Amino acid sequence: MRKSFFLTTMLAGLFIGLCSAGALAPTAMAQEFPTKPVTLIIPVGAGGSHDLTARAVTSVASNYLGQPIIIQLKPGGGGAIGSEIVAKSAPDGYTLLFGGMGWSTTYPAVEGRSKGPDDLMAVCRINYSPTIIAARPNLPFKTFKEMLAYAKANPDKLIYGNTGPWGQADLPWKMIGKQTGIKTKNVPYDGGGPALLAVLGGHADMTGGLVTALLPHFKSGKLRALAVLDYKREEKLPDVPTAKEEGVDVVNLMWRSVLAPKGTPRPVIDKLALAFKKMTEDKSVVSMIKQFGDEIQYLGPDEFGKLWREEFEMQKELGKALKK
Amino acid sequence: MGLFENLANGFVVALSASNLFYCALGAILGTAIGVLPGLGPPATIALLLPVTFRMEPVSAVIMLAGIFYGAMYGGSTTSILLNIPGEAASVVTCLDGYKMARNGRAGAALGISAIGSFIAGTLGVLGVSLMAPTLASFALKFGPPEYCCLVFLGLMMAIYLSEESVLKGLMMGALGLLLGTVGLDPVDGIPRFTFGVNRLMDGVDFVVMAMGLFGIAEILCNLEAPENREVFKTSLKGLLPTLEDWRQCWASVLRGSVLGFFIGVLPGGGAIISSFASYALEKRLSKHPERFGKGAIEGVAAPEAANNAASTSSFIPLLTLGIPGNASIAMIFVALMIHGIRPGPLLLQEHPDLFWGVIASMYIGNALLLALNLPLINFWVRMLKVPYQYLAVIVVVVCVIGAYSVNNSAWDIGMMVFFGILGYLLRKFAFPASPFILAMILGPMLEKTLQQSLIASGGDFMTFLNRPISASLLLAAGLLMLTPLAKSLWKKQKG
Repeated sequence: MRKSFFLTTMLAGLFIGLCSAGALAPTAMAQEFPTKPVTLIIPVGAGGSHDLTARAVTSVASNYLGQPIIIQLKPGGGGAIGSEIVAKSAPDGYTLLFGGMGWSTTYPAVEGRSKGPDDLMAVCRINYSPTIIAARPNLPFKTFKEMLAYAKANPDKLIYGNTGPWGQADLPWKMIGKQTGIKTKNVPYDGGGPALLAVLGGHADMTGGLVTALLPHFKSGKLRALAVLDYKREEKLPDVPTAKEEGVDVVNLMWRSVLAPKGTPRPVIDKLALAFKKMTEDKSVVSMIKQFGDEIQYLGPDEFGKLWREEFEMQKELGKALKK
Repeated sequence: MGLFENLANGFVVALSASNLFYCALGAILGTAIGVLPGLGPPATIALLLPVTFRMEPVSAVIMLAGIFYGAMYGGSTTSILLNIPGEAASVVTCLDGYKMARNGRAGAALGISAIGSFIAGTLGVLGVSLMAPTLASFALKFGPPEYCCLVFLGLMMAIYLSEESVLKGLMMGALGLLLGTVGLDPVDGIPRFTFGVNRLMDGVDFVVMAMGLFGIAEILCNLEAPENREVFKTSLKGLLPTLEDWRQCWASVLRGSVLGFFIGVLPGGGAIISSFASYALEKRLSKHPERFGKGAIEGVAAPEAANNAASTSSFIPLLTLGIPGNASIAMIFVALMIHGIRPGPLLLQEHPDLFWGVIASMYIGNALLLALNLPLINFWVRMLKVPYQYLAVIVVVVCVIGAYSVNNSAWDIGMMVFFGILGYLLRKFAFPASPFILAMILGPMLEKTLQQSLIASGGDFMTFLNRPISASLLLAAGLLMLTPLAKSLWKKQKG
């Protein structure tokens, strides 16, 4: 009863909205899209890699979209608040979400909070950073395989410092544990910096991080890279194998993407995706992203949507298995 | 190359016209945002990051660092004038600073905090240039058990802050610990006490809580007694601390600086713990501890010196290990990365002009801040002459904007009002608010580090006693708890 009332009000609102917009049919709207600035909501705090990437890419938006993209920060709940705002807003392409694996896949898949592929649609992926497994250099193993053998022989001896529950380090480590059966102490730290500090200080043995933060420590010999959790090797670490090469099928890509509310018309999605593709090919954007230590790995709505859905279903299974 | 040669080269970099300009710009911006509650240094630095994309890396860091330590100078201003701590490290300054202002000594309080900050900042920079690498290895020695014991010691000190009743202090501390458990649990990420409200997932925001508990509550209390306005009749003559003030607090400034410098090296919460640790230390050492909380100048000088020294030494983990110790430093880290410079063990060899240039700029920035803040005191004190009915409205408006700016959400305004009313009630029943708020900040740290220690040790509590640093911290906490007991027993026996 109440729900139908809600729906009726929404429909009425939509109707009034359409009338005041000149009663345009949806396809006509899509052709003219965008007629006003587009808002991109970033659901996490300022200055992080998502914020920087989004700002760099959208800095040239008006050249390719015909309208500027305005960035709004709506941090809170690890990204859940901004995600919910976008999922609830009108599916007209004017309100978009800057998606990340944590709030767009893991939280909805494992914990049923925030919004995932059931409530949002893919526009495109901008790029990603794989998790890299790193260890102190003075441990009795040098490679990922040796580490697994050591952990099997010494259960609950290795201390793995993760960067927070279900984060870039914790989730893949749980997947590795599930696949290989190794048992370690998985200690939560408050983000990448503290986890790294714990490993450097010898309070933890291993951690998982992104190449931008770990590279100087690999170079100085204070850390050893064991495996890259990607389908291919990392350009900056040509000698480090992927986990797949070492026989463990775990991939963890911390992606940055653009998402839209479910029900956004396909022509609008296509228009946005094309504009974002051109933005990511812009010279100034490419050079800025390079300075962050990343690269552009654009994927269109269909390819990325499929990848996202697969990742979501896989993590849902994992969540169920781990919570038993 | 010797130290002085390095430092001299650093000064050459820092004294170039453009870097001098960026240093001044950063210091002024920092003071401004320090004075305005809400938008803190991390958010400001994040907003300015895109501007630094096209700047020289040294200039970028000099400006951003200026914002960070400038805010430490500015943050005490609202604490002293209006009882609103702009950031966690200035909560303690409210205790005696605001009392001094009410006693007509706002100028002296602001003066001692500016000069104390300058002395501490300069000593801190000197410390950084002399022993950065040594201190970095000290910070590395701090694992979860050490942090856990440090936070525990800090909690003991926080309770010691309560002006009159230790029992009331303990009660408020316990309440603060409980409030600190709201949000996601640190091990499994399971929401606790959030009642399905997404806004509570991240816990209660400190800035919002502090503005309510201190600022709004203060206004509510003042509205109740409108005749009490004569407290703000500050004569413009007593703007600077007198010789007598100096005699009382020069040692406090030095002790605060040293304590702040060492605790500040530890990533996460260094500045906060150092500010009230130094307050507790002064109260303990003072011959007249009863003056504390009623406008003792040492109670302003020591924590202000401590938080400034701590903000300076918190650069050490970044510059030597490449690890940001707090949110503001993390932003500076990002600024460096954008320029393709990766702070870390190799920074000193790869980019010596950056390292020493930034350090030299901090010497200059501290001098600039002193020159900027002393003349401003006159202006701030005059502000108190604004009739209270107007001043109160302005303060409420600034607080509302500040609360909104934390997460761009109206929810936080509601939270601030809630804590304002709570703060008013607490005051009516003479419960101290500072142990409450400090326990709220320290609680999650205590829980996290306790969990980390016990997971790593396999549930063995001996991990806290087997390690020398954590064992001595625990011993200190134990002594702190037992001395009042011993004292009263001693008195009883005598009597």
